[in-house]
Amino acid sequence: MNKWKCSVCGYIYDPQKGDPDSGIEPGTPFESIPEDWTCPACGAPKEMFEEMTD
Amino acid sequence: MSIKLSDGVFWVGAFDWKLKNFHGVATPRGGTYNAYLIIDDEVSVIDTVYLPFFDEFLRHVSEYTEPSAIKHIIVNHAEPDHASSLKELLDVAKGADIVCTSKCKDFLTHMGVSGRFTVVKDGDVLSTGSKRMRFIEAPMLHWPEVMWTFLEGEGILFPCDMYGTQVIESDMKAEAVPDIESFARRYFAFIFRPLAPIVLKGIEKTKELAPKMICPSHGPVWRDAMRIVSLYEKLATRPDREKVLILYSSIWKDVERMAHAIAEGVQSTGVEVVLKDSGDLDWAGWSDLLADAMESRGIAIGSLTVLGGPFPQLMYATMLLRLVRTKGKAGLSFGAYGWGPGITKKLDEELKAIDATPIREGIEVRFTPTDADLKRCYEAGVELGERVKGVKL
Repeated sequence: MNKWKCSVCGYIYDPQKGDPDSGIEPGTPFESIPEDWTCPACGAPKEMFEEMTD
Repeated sequence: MSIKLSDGVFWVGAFDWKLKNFHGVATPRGGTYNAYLIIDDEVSVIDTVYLPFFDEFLRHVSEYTEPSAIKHIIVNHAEPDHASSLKELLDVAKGADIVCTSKCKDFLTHMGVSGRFTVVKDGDVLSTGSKRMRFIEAPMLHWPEVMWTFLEGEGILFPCDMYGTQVIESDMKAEAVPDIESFARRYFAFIFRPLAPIVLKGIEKTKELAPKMICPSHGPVWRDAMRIVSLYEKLATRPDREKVLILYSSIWKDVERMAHAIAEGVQSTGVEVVLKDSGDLDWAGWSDLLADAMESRGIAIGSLTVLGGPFPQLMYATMLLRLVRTKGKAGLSFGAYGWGPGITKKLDEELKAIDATPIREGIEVRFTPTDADLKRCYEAGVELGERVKGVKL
């Protein structure tokens, strides 16, 4: 599972940690997050995220 | 002088006639910091002004009411051009609360503002007597704490920086500015183009609200609300057309001759060309460059070689173009070197970084272009023009 980075503010979504404050359980891949989820740091929508590849 | 917009709704902002460069947006006819006064049983203001203009704001408010009577200061956005006179206003309107989102409270607190905060959430309504203001959270349009205020009965939307321009019109009428769209284009390219997917969500929200009037925080008011909504929608989706931007750095005119040959090739296909020497760009030129890049379906960049790489001014331009986050453009690189080749490979990397895919290998000449080189440039220009014409929308 890759991490995804918010292209607006730089927040990194780590699937291992999820986003429990928004109800996203640890272990949730980015692809499985609901479409209306927004960046917890800046509020940008999901489509502003870019996949991080090593 | 203040301006009446509707019953009990007044523009009480300020004109900045000397403003020529709004942090990167060219404003050849000045700019405005808009604040609005809502007179009802309880008096409210929506946003304030940049601190140097506070006295003017206060004078405008005083035309209708004692500023001390203000009960609610609605803060749509914490940026200093809207909120830097909050402290001064609270000294005058001692009984007022600050109505804003929780993130905005956090921002303002860090900016040194203290006072009585009323934190609101998306959909909350403030009743001030006969008028109802609904708050709409609008994160990243264009800061995370931003909200919009919607005056329900009147159908007036106060969307802060969204739907803004930056130009002075004495009666605050957008329709009275014949070239208003050129101001919207420059402002949008710099402030909202990087956030285009979020702008589209904002546009959806706006259509649900169906406002009759839009009162942005910069530039004049839109009585024909849908006109600016449609324009922003176009700029956020496909602002581009059959146009090629050619940008180059040249010292001894060798690269410039190449640029001109490419331009002639593009023009021969009927495609519009904008040609710019990075050395000629002043702050207004840099601002227009962003708008031109946004509108161009093809981008050609060229440079001489300095210490093995492109001229720094050209790199500054490509850094700026990254901000515009354009997608799917056709690219072409060209350049000259004296003893170390490879300039166009470096320029191709810059093109890729702005999502302008090189259509062919870059054109590189040693010292100065020969007639055959210029013919190659012309032909590459033709190829670029044809490519740009072939883009399906």
